[in-house]
Amino acid sequence: MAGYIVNITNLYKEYIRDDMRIPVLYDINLDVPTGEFLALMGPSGSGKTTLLNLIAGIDRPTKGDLSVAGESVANLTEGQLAQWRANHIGFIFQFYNLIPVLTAFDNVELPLLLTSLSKRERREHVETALSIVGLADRMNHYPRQLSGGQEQRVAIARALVTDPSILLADEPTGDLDRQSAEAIMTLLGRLNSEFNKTIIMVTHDPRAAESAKVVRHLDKGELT
Amino acid sequence: MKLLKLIVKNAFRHRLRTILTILGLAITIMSFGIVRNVLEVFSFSEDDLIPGHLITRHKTSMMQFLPYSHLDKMRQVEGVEAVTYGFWMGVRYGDDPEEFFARMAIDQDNFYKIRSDWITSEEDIEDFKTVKNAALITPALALKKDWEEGDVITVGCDYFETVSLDVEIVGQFEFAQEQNRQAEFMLVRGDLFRRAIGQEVSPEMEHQVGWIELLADPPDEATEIATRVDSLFMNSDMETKTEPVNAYANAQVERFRTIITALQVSSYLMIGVILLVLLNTMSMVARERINENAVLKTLGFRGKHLVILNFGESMFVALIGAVLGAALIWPGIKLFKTLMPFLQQVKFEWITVVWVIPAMIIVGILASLVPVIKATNTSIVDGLRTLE
Repeated sequence: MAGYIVNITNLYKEYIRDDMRIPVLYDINLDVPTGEFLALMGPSGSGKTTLLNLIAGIDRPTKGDLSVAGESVANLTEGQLAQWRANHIGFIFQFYNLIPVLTAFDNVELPLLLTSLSKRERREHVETALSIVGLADRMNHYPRQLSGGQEQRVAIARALVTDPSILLADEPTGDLDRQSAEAIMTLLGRLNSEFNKTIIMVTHDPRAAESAKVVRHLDKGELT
Repeated sequence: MKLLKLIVKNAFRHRLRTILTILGLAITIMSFGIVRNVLEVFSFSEDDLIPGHLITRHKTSMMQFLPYSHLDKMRQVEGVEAVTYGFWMGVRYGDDPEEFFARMAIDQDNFYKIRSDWITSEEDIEDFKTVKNAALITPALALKKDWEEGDVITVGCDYFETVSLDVEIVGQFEFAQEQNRQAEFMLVRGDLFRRAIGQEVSPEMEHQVGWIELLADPPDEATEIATRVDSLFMNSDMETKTEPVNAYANAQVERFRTIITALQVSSYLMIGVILLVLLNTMSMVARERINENAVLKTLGFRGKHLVILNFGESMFVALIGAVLGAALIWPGIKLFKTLMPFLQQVKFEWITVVWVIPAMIIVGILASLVPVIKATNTSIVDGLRTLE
C-alpha cells in the first residue's frame, strides 16, 4: 500500500515450548505510514517486543501477512532476510548491545562492513552518524568509557548509519535514568522530525511514549 | 579483511585467558616437536644403507664381545668382500656432565673398505693407519671444541672407566647422510683401544671386538652370505648372529620399542591436548557470544560472517600458539640435549615445523566448530534473550 512502510494483516504468532503452543499475538492489523513515530505500549508479556521482532524480520509470523519496506518478509530465506535487515532496519536495543572491545567508531561502523563502501566512505558515514547523536568527540572511546545514555546514543548512531528505511527501538530508555532517557527521546524525536525517519518504539514508559506521534496499546496479544 | 579487526579484538577480549591458552598451546607444541625429533633418532632410511653391508654380533647378546680371530675366519667365507670391526666407547668427556660427544674405536686398516658412508680423504685415511694414536673427528666436533690436526686429546670409555687414551687428531671425516652432518663424533684407532682394554680390564680383552662388519658381494646374496658366516661358528661358545644392517638397526630400535611406542602415543596425545585446550576456550567463547551473535545477526550479519568471525578467532589463537610453539622447538631441543647427554643425536628437524602448522590448522578448524554451530543455529530471538 502506497505511503505505508509497514502493513500487517491478520498476523498471528505463537511459540512452541515443550510441546505446548503459547499464543503471543492474535489477529494483529496495523499499517504504519512512512515518517510515522509510533509507540507500542503495553504491560510485560503483552507481545509488544514480539511484534517489533516480527517487523524487524528477526522472527517469523505463524500466520498472516507482514510487509515492511515493500517486502513480504515472511517469504524471504534466512540469507535474504539478513540482507534485507542490513538494508532496511535500524534496531535499537534496551541494553545498547555494543561490542565492548570496539570503540564507538568501530561499533557504528559494524553495519557498514556489510556494504561495498570504501574505508573513506565508511569513515564519513560513521562521523556523520556520531555527529547527529552528538558524540563526534567520543568516537575513540570504548563503551566502558561512556555513560549509559552515551552508549545508547552510539547504539542509535549504529542503527542510523546505513540510513535504514525504518528505526525499531525496543525499550530504548528502559535502562536509563530520567535525564538520559529524555535526551534519547529528544534525539529520536529529532530523527523523526528533521530526518523523516519512521520509528516504531516499544516502551512501557508513558513519558517516553509522549514523544511519539501515535501510541498503540497491546494487551494480551491484541492491539487495542 | 574487514572483519579482521573484530577477530583480533575478540581473540584478546579476555586477555589473560587468551594468553594462557596460547602459552598452553605453545608449550604443548614445543613438547610435541621435541618428542617427534627424539623419535627421528630411532628412524633410518633404507636409502642410507650400504648395499651388502652386514653386521655380526654375539648371538647371545649385543653386549658380549666377539673374538678378534673371527675376522680372519670370516674373510675366508665365499662372498665376503671385506671385514672390519668396531667398539662403542661412549659419549662422556672429562668430568663435566655437560661435555660429551660420541666415540667409536674402529679397525683403522679396513673400515674405509666398507664404511663408504664415512667420507674422508685418502690422506686422512693414510694418517689414521700410520699414526699409532690417531683419531678422526667430524667437522661439527672440530668446530665445537676448536680442535685441529695435531691436537692431542685425552678420551675415556664410558663402560671401562679406567681406560684413558691420548689420541692425536689426524684429520676429519663426515657422515654421508644429511641428517648426521651435525653429529659430534670421534673415530679412534681400534688397535689402540684393544691394547688399552687389554691392559686396563683384562689381557684377553685385547683379542676381542665389539662387533664385526662385513661387505657381501654380490649384495643381493647378503642374507645367504650371512648364514654362511654364522654357520662357521655354530655350536662354538662364540656363536654369531649376522644380519643386514637394516635388520640390525631394526633390532636396535626394537630394544627401545616400548619407549618409542610410548613417545609416539604421547605425541599424538599432545595433539589431543592442544585440541582440548583450544576447544575449551572456544566453547567458552561460544557461550559468551550468544547474545552478541544475535545482535550481529540483527544488524544484518549472515551465517557466513559468523563462521568467519568464529573460525578466524580460533585459527588466530591456534596459529599464534603454533608459531610460538614452533619457535620454541629449537631452543627446547637445545635444553633437552643439555638435560639428556645421551641423546645428543636429537636435532632440530624442519619437518616438525612443517608438521605443526597443518596440524594446528586442523585443530583450529575443529575447535571453531562448537562456536560456529552455536552461532549459526541459535535463533536471533533466543540469542537476544540470553544474558551475557
